[in-house]
Amino acid sequence: MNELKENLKRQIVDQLNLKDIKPEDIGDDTPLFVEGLGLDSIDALEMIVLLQQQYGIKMVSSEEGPKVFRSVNSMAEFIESQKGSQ
Amino acid sequence: MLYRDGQSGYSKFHKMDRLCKLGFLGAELLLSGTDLLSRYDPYEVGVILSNANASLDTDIRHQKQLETGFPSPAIFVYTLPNIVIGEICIRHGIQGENTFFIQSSFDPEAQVTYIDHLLNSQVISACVGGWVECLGEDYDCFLYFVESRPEPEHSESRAYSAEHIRQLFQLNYE
Repeated sequence: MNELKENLKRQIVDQLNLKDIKPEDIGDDTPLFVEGLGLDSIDALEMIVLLQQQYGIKMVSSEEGPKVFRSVNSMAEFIESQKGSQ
Repeated sequence: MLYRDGQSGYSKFHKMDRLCKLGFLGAELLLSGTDLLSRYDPYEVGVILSNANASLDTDIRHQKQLETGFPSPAIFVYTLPNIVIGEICIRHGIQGENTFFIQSSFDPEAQVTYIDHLLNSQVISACVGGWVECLGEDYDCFLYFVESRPEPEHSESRAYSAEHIRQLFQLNYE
């Protein structure tokens, strides 16, 4: 799980081109949107691409987004749960 | 280098495509640290730009990504040339009339005629005009500011004419 979270932090920085943020700056529970990293709606779409590209997970429900992309912790839990259901 | 020296607090810069970065930096040089915008309501200021290749530089990147199966939304949103105007407007709080024209080459007569019409009909009172072009390794940026009621102390102000704008544009190549 820790390795997954570290990978996610690196992938978020790379995929979203966050030049002013390092993976180690992102806490496991840091909010990714608005008051946390300040990501926007286009970043949310990039995160969906990230899940599909890196983990083969397709998000089918838009209602899942806010819950899944709340933090690195929630993303990691979602990825693990999807692995379990595949 | 210019961005790193002057704008390290604007994180969205890194997400822009190259056309937007070029126009954004040009506008920084033209407007930041000046009082040009301070005397106008945001709705009084327009931005009228043009180039020859629209957003083709980014369109090509997007097309290549489509072929791989994972197109990036962050690239897709830049597949319109007028996005550079949006980035400039967001940065400088400009909310007036804006248009991006595609022309085979910079046409001072057409641009001055259009902006003059907007100024004379009081749609806007000031305007950023120019040419912002980027394709592959080639890029070109020429921006100017024209206003209907310049401050008297702006003694360097000159009459707005196609000939004057052509002369300024040609300075780029001297």
